[in-house]
Amino acid sequence: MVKSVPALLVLKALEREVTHGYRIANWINQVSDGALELQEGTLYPLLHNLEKKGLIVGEWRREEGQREVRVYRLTERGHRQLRQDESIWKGMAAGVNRVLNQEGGVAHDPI
Amino acid sequence: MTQFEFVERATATIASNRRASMVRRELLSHLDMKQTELIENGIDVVDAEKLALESMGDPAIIADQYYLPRTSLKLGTLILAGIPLLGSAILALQSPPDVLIWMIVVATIAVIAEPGASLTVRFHGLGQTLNASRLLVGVSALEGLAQVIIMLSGIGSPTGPLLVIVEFIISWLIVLYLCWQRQPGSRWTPGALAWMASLPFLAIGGSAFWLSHWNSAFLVWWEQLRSFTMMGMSLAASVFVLAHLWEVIQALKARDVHASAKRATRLSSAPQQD
Repeated sequence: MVKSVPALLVLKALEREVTHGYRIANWINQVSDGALELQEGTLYPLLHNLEKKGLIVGEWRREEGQREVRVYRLTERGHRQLRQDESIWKGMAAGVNRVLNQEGGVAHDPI
Repeated sequence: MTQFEFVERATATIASNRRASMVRRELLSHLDMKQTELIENGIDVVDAEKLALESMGDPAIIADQYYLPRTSLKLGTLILAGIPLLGSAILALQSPPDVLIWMIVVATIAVIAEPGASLTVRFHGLGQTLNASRLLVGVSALEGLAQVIIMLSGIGSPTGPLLVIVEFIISWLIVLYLCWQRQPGSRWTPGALAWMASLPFLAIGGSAFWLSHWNSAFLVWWEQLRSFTMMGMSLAASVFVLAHLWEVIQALKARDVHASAKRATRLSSAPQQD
């Protein structure tokens, strides 16, 4: 099983580009057509947890308008973890979909 | 609730000042981006600030994610506590207990017993958090180190009394600066107040001690004040230790309540099995 779906989404977002928490949350929200919303209360502790595990690395950068932001990038370990979790998730989702797409069902014998 | 109060509450459970400071900067940066986006969408600046803050939800949820029970003393704390201890041990061997030893012992207890923030003051502009007792302890640690160097190098101790007064001035300057910079959300604890209360005794005793070394005419004055200073310092130190113990007990209680609440949440959200 995938340990954390939000972690998988964050790793996926960071595979695309080196970016900050705000953009990660926005990207996930946009790509999922608003179905997935990563709240700040989940996002930042998650980012810091992933950083602690060595899956991502954060650094402060100065953006346009002199704003300082902390951007994150995937590490080699993060890439490996993403590949692994992605594969597990896809297999699991396909399995769940097959179960849900089963039409009808076995008729129960009335007692 | 202002943005600063929000980030303060959201990071209240982070034990490390450096880490808490980093998270606060990041959350403020997030709020800034959110606010900018809202303004670009035509929302009024004041409303944008309010909406950005509201979109962050309850700061307690973020704080809860960072909550980790403190299980061990950090290496830095041990080193910081070790230097004054070493300094006071050498002093104790060299001379009878004096103001310096009291001060160093009190500072050492402060480091070891400190459960969280005694008097925490935030420098929002820098995204920094400074803890008054840690700063004071830092000064004491430097002094302890200086004492060790002085004793080991065989220079003698004429600089000892001078260090007392220098430390006293630095300590007070730090306290005054922190009071001046104090932001909403920071709190005065009994421990911090007791530490402050010990400073006037240190001032009187330290001055007399220094003057008696500078000019022997003041030796009588120092002798007269010695017991008064010691008594005041002892009293303040006792209150300080008791206050810190009380804070530790409160922190442990809060941890138990927190753990029970988490257990209850887990149980109530677990699937019911017949």
